[in-house]
Amino acid sequence: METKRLERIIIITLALLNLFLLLVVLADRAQDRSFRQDTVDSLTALLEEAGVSVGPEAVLIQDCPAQCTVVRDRELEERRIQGLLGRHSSEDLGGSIWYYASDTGQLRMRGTGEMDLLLTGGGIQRGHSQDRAAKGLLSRAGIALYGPVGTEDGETLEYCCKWNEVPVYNAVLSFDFSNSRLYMVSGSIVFNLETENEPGAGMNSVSALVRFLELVRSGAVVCSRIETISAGYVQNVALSGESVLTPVWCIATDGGSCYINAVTGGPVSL
Amino acid sequence: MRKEMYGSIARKCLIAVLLVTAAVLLLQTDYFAASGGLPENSAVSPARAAGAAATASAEAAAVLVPRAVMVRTPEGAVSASAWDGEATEQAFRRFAAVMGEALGSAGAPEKLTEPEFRAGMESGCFFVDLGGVFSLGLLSDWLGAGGGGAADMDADMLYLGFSGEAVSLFFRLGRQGFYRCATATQAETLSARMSDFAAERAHFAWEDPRLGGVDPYSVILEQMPALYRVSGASAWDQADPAHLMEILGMNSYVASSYYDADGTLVQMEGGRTMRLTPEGMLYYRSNEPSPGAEKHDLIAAVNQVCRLLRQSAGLTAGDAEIMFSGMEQSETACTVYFDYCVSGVPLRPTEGHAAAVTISDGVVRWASISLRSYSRTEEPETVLPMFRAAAIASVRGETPVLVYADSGEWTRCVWVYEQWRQND
Repeated sequence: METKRLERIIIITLALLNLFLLLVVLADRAQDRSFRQDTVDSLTALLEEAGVSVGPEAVLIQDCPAQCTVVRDRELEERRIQGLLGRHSSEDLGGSIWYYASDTGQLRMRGTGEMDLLLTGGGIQRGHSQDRAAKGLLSRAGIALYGPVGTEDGETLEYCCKWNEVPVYNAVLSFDFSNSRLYMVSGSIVFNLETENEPGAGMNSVSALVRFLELVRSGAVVCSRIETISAGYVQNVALSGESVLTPVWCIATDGGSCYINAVTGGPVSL
Repeated sequence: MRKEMYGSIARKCLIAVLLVTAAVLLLQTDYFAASGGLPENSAVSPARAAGAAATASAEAAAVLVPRAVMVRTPEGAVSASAWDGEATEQAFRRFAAVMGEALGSAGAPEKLTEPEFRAGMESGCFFVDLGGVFSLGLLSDWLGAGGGGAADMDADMLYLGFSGEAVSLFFRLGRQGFYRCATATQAETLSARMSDFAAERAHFAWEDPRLGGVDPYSVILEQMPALYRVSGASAWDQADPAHLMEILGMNSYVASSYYDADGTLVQMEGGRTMRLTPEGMLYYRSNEPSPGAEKHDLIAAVNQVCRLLRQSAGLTAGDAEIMFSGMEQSETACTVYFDYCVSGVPLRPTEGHAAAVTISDGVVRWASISLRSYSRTEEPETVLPMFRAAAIASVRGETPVLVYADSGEWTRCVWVYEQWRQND
């Protein structure tokens, strides 16, 4: 009986504790929502004072992706090329330049992150779009694409590579089509092995927008409306086979896109 | 009975559930608020050893401090950076990967005349004055490539120039000559990095007939960067003897130690001796046998020494950095020299170098390291404009080099005049 009574007391105590904690969590969430709304309202007011309106699709409060260091891992690269070209031969041309060849195509991969892929028989399947063909091809190599970010005469499509589902704005690949056939892919990719990850190294979107506001006020940026704000990376290949992915904020406006370095707060030119 | 048993089990389960939910709710409160952010990186390979090895050379390469870099675009615009650590390093890093690729893919060197060497710059180039004689094989390794047809050669300055749709590597070693190597680097790769590059206006000494006596490939800045006073002191009090012993491969637990009459701390373990003087001089000598009959690997040896210096003198240097100053090598050993530098300007002691380390068969045989700490003040340091220093040097047939002269008691930024033909 004593045990039964003790258990009942514990249950009641724990139930009250849970209720208390639930109220605290709900209060915290309500406060966070209130703060976020205040921040959004204040930031919107500041931007409108400077003559910049905010579009409905622009999410003003976002967290910043982590700054990463990535290196080129040859073993991983071989496995990816296997997925892309199938059974292939490999040749070291020196200077961290590797040449891969198979019946499907020939690929040259450089230590600067640049690649050239020449395909044989790269016809697009009936019913498939160029977009699907491009993304499908690179997905076999484990490379995710963002875009298309550009197109030329309907025969060339440009995409950015992604790292952890975040676009890398200056790792751009061009897909050249001719007569419904994808025959060449060229551009820059992101290296495949992460060695360092620094979350919290960059500022969030609110701070980036304040930097953006300074640029608008100084006349460095001319626009009247912010369409979207999105996080991305810019790749800096410091040494052959090694690069740093620096988080940036892409602020798309009616006057073009403006990129803010999330670590330094300075404008980035791509 | 059974009913009571089921009741008891139910109560215990309920207690467990309430404990779990309480713990979950507690973690949701602001006391344990997560840092937020995007989902954790899901593409990290558990095998980071390959990545760590790839950055080992990069870590050693941190001691590379070029004296000057210059970019001459195909359109003829010229800009350069020198004596400004951060700007010069950033400029060099912009082109480092391309330079590495060119070095690693370089073909056999072809000897050139000096007019041919200069002609290679006319259609645009990226030029680097290394500030001393460098092994191109070592430079190629530090830039992440390794190897190449010029790996067995040395150079004191080099540049990447355009040859049609490709890039050629040009380099000089004093009066021993000028060379060119074809590379697999594409011209658009180099030209892409030249676009938007902006630095100070500059020209080569050979482009000014008034500077005929100076090293023709000295980069003459039209405006000097801002320079500041630097103060230096012995870092003896910051040195940790146990840590120094550890990085030298000694065991502080079994070593015997004593103090000399002059206050020098002496640590001895087997055939190894380390001496740390009150003036901050570290001496090390080892008579230990080599671990095995391994072939002497110059690059591995130099990288090992660079890491040793960064983990010893580099930790107590204050606002200064360790910079690679040169090396001498034989078939079985090499001696590597280092100095300190502040903002890219070398700190030059009264005699010799700040550090010299001899390594043989993977074992450090002898080391002499001056443990110094420097701090950069906000007080500006005034020196002669570079053109005037070059004009004085030209009369003497020498080349002006900017240094912080460190007498041990004071430090001052001055121009020193060096025989530029000494690399014969």
